[in-house]
Amino acid sequence: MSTMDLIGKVMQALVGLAAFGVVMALLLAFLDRPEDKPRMASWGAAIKQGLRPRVILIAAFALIAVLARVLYGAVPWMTQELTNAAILVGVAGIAVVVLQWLLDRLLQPAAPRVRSAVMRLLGAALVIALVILAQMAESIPALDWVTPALVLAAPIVGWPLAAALLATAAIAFLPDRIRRHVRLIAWLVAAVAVVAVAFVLEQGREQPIGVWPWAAAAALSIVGVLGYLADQHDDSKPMLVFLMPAALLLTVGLVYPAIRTTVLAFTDASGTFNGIENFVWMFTQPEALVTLGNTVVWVILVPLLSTAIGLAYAVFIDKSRGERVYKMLVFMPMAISMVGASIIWRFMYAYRGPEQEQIGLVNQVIVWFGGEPQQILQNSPWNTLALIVVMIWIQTGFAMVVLSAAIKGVPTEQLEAAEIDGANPWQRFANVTVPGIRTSLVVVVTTISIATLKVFDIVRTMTAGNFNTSVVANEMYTQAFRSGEPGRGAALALILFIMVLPVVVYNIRVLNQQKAIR
Amino acid sequence: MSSVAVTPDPEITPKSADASLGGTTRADRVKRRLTSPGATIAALIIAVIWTIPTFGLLLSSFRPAGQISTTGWWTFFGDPQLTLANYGEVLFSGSASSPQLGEYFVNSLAIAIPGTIIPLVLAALAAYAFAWVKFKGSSTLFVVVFALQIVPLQMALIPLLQLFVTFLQPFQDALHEAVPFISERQFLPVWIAHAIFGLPLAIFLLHNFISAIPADVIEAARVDGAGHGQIFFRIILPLATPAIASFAIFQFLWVWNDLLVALVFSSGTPDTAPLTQRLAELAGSRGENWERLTAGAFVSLVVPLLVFFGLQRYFVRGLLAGSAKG
Amino acid sequence: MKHARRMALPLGIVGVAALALTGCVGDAEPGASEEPGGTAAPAEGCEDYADYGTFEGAEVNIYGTILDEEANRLNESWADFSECTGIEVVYEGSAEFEAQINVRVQGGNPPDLAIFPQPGLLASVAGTGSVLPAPESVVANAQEFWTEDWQNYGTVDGTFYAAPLMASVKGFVWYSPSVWEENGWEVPTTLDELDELTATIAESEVTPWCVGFGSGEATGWPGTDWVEDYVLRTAGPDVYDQWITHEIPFDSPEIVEAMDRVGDLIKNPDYVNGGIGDVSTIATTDFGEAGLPVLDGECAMHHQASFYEGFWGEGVTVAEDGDVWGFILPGTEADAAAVTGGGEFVGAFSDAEEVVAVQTYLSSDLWANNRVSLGGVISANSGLDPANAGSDLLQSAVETLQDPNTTFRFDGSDLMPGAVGSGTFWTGMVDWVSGADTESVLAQIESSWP
Repeated sequence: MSTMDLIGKVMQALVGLAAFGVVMALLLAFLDRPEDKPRMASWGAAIKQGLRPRVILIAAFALIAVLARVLYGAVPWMTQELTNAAILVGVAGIAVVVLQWLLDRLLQPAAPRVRSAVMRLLGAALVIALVILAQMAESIPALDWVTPALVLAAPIVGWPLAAALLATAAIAFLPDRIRRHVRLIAWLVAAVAVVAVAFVLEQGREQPIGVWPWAAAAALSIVGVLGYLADQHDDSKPMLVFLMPAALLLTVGLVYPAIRTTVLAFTDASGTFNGIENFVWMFTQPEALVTLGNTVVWVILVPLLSTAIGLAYAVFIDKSRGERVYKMLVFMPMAISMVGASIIWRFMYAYRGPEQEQIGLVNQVIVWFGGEPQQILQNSPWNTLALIVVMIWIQTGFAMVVLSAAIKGVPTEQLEAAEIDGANPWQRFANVTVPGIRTSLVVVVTTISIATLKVFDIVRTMTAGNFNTSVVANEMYTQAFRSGEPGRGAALALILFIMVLPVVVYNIRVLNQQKAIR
Repeated sequence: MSSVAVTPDPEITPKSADASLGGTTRADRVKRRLTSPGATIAALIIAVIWTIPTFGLLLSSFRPAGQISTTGWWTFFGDPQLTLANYGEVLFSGSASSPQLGEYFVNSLAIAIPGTIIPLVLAALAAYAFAWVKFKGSSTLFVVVFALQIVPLQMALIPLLQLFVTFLQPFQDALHEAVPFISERQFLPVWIAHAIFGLPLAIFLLHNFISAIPADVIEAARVDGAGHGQIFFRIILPLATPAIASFAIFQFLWVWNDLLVALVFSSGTPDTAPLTQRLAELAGSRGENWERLTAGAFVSLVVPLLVFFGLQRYFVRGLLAGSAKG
Repeated sequence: MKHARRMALPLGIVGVAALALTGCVGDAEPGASEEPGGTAAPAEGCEDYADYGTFEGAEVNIYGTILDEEANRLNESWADFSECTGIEVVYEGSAEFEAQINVRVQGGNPPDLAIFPQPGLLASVAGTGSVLPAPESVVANAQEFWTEDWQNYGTVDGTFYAAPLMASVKGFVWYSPSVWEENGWEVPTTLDELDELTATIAESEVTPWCVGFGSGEATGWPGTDWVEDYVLRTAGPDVYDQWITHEIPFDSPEIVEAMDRVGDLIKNPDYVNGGIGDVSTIATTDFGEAGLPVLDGECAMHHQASFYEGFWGEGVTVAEDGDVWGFILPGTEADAAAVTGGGEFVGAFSDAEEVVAVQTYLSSDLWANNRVSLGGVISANSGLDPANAGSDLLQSAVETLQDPNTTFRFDGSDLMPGAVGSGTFWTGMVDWVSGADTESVLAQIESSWP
C-alpha cells in the first residue's frame, strides 16, 4: 500500500473525528447559559469569559492558512487548489469564531426570546444564502463540484427550512401557549412543503428525485416535535442539545425507513397497493407456520439459555484465579462474525456416512460413544436446535460480560448481612445477588431477544432455510433481496415488529417501576 | 491456546485462590465463598465446551488445505502436520486489484474506531437526557427509540444510500479535489450508517446504567448550582465509564464484523473496503476456499480480542460501587 | 458553562490540530490534466486500441460477481487497454452482487458498468429503467461476434442492453481416465449407455456417482443443472424453451420424465455418494468438495460445469490422459450435441464516452482473446481463437460452443424469474433429493411461479 493512501486514510479518520468533536463542542456551548448562574459583573469580565479557547482556535486557523501559503511552491504536493482550500478554511474558521464570539457577547444581556429570535433569523439567512449559492453554482468555478442533484435538492429542503425558521422567529413574542403550538405547526407545515415541492419538481423530469425528501420531511418534523416538547418548561430546554443529534440521525436513518416499510408491506413487486395480499401470501405458503414456529422457539430458547449459562458462568468465575482468562474464553465467540461462527459450526456438525471417517466433531463424538452418525443439519426438528446452539454459543459471552460487571456492583454489605443471617450460598445468590442485578438481567434478556429476532446470517449460512429451519428474518431477507419482492419482505418485517412488542411492553413496565421508585 | 493449559486445576483452586487473596478484605472473602469446587468444575466445563469450536478452527487454520475437508482436526494429534501456507495465502496474496490484507486492516480500523466513538458520544448524551432531564413525552420518546432496535437495517439501506448520494457525495468529491490524496471514496457514509444503526441499542443500554445512578448524587450537584452540562461531564461520564467501555467493546465488535453495511456504503475497492469484505472475497464466490476462511477468521479475530483485553479492566471496576459512598 | 467550555477546548484543539495536519504530509502527484477524446498518434504497442481514443484521467467503475483470482485476471485483461486509452478501470467484485445491485440502483449509486451473471437478473434490473440500451458500437460488435441466441439473452422487451462477456459450458461429466482404463470402462455416447455404465460400475468396488448440492444460501443449484441437462436432451430444445418461459407448466409430463431419469441415477442408494455417505448427504455436501473423491477412485463420475476444472486442486492434471478429464453429458442418441451453459452480460448505467469505450472493448473479439488466453474461462465470441484457451478441456468447450451443429441453451434457472430460478427451484431440488417425490416437488415449484 502506498504511503499516500495510508496518510489519506488516517487523515480521513482524524479529520472526521475532529470535525465531529468541533460540532459537538459547538453544540455543548449552548448548555449552561450564564442565566443559570450569577450574571457577569461587567463587559470586561464578559469578554474575558471564553477568551482563551477562542484565541487558540483563531491561532490554529491562522496557522493553517499561513502554513499552506508558506508551503505553496516549496513542496511539490502543495497544489494551488490545496493552498486555496486551506486558506479558505483558515479564513472562514476565524470569521466564524469571531462572529460567534461577538454574537454571544452582544446577545448575552438580551432576553432569551430575543436571543432565540435572532439566532433563528441568522439561521434563515444562512440557509437562504446557501440555496442561492447552490443555484449559482454553475457559474462559479470554485463550486464546480456541486452536482445537479444537489442544486435541485437545495431549494427543496432550503426554502421550507428557511420559512420555518423565519416563521418561528416572527412569533417569538406571542404568549407561551400559542407560540408553542404555532411553532410546532410551522415545522410540520415545512415538512409537508418539502414533500410537496419535491413532488411538483419531479413532474416532467426524467430522473426521479427519489425517496429522500420524505426523510428530510421526517427530520423537519422531529425538530418541530422536540422543540415543542422542550418548550414546555424552562428546565427542559437542555434536552434539545443532548437529544437533537441522535434524534435527527434516528429519524432519518430508522424512523423514516420503518414508516416506509410499513407502507411497502401493502404493495406488490411493482409498488402498487395490493391490500393485505402479502399477509395472505405469508400465512398460506406451505412452510409459513414452520417458519413462525421456529422463530418463536429461537426467541424463547436463545435469551433464556444464553442468559442462564452466562449468569452461572459469571457467578462461578467471580473472584476466581484467572478470571480474565475465563472471561476471554467465553467471550471469544462474540468476536467472531456470525458468518464465521456459522462456518465453524457447519464443520462441527459435518456428516460422513457410517463407513467413512467423520470430519465433524459432534458426529465423531457420537461414533466414539458407539452411536450412528446423524445428519444433524437435516433432521427436523433437531436441526433448528442445532442452529440455536450456535446463537447461544455467541450470545453467552455478551450475557456473561454484562452480568459479571453487574455482580461486582452488588453491595458487599448486603451479602455479609445475609451470611450473618445464616443464608447458604444459593440463598444468598437468589435473595441478594439476583435482585441486585435485576436491571441488568432485563437488559441482557431484552437485547439478546431482539438480536435473536433479527438474526438471519446463521440460518442463511448453515442451511439456507432448507429442511424446515427457516426463520422470519431469513425469509424477509430472501424475499426483499433475492426474489425481488420488497412488499413481502416488508410484510415479514412487520411480523417481526409485532413479535418484539411483548418485549417492548415489558420494558416499559420496568421503566415505569423505576421512575416510580425515584 | 488450550483452555486446559491456562486455567487452574479444579482440585487446588479454592485453597490456592484463598492463599493468593491472603491480604484481601472481609468483603472479598464473603464473595469468595459463593464459589465452590463444584462451581469451579462447572465453569471449567463451560469454558472447555465454549472453546472447542474455536480451538478446532485454530488448529484447522494451520493444517494443509487438502486435509481440512477430508479428516477431522483432532486427527492432528495422531498425525501432526502443520503449515503456515494458509496464513501466507491470506496475508500476502496480493495483486494490483486486491492488495495485501494490511490495507484492508487499516480500512477496518478507520471504519471501526470512529464507528464506535461517534454513536457512543451521541448515545451517552441522549441517554442522559432521557434519564435526568425532565421533559414532557420523555418516556414515550424513549420507548420509540427502544422500539427502533427492531427495524431491520436491510430496510433502511436504500433510503439512506439515496440521502448520502444526494447530499454527501458532492462534498466528498470536493474534498478529494482539494486534497488529492484523500480518495473520493471515503469512510464518512459508513461511519454515519454505523452510528445510526448502533444508536438505539446504545441509548437503551447506557440509559439503563445512567438512570441507575442514585438520584441524591445528582440532586446534590443541582443544589450546588451545577447545570446539566456540568452534571453530565463531572458526574455522569466518570460514573458511567464502565458502562461506556463495555458498550464500546460491543459496538466495536459489531462494526468490525459487519459485512452488510460495508457492502452498501463503502465503495468495495481497497480505498475503503474492510477486512470482512476482503475475507468474503478470499473465500471464493461459492465459499469453497475453506483453508483461507479458517486463517482469515483468526487474523480478523486478533483486534477484537485486543480491544477486549484493553478495556476489560473497566468491567472489573464496580459499576456503581463508588457513587453511593462518594 | 465553565465546564462545558473546558471540555470544548480540548475537542477544539484536537480538531484544529488534525486540520492543520492535513497541510503538512505526503507527496501527491499534481492533478493530471483532463482532456477527453484527444487524438494523439497511438503509442508503441497501442495500435490495437487506437480506435477507442484517449481519455486522460477518466475512470470507469465495474461491478460484478467475479472474485479473487478470476478478478485479477479480469483486471489483467484490460491492463493494456487502460494503459493505451488512459481510462482507469476500477473493478469491484462481490458475492452479494445479486442483492446489492438492486440496492445500489435504487439508492441512486449504480456502477458505470455491471457484469450480470444471469439474463434474468439483467431483465429485472432493466425493468426499473436504469440500464441504458447498448450503444451502437456495442450493438455492432454483438452482431458481428455473437449468435442470435446469445444476443437475445442480452435483450429485454426488444431492446438490446448487454453484450455477452464470458461463457461456461455446463453438463460435463468428470472422471478419472486412469481408473476407467484399469476397469475397462468406456466413455458413453448416449444416455442409455450412461445408465448401463452406471449399473456396471455399481457392481464394482467403486460408487458410480459423487453428487453435492451444497452451496451456502444457493444450495440446490447443482441439482437444477442436472434437471436442465436432462430436459434439454430427453425432451428437446423446443420443450426446454417452453418450459423456461412457462408456456408449459413447470410440472409437465416431459419434465417429470426427465427429472425421474436423474432420480434413477442420483437417488439410487447403490449409485451415490462415493466417499461421503448415502443419498441424504447430497443436500449438505458442498458442490466444491463433492467431486474430489473422483481423484481417490472412491466414485467414478461427477457432473459439474467446465469451471470445475479449477476445483481439482494444485498438482492435478486435467487432460484426456491425466488425473481427471470430462466428457459432455451425452444425448439420447449418439452425436446429438446439445449443451447448456451460462455466461455474463455487461450492462451500462452511464453513457459517458469513456464508459462506452470500455463497454465496446469488452464486447470485442480483441478482449475475448486477451481474456481467454489468460486461462480459466472461455467465451462464445466467434472471433475467439480456440487455440488461446488455457487448457485442453476449455479448448474442447470453445470448439463445442463454436460448432454450428451444437444446440446451445442457456442455463434455465438463470432465465426464470428470481422467485423460481434462485428460489423455489433450488429449495425444491433439496427437498427432492432429501426424499420428496418428483410430482409434488414440481407441482410446488409450479405454484410459486409469479
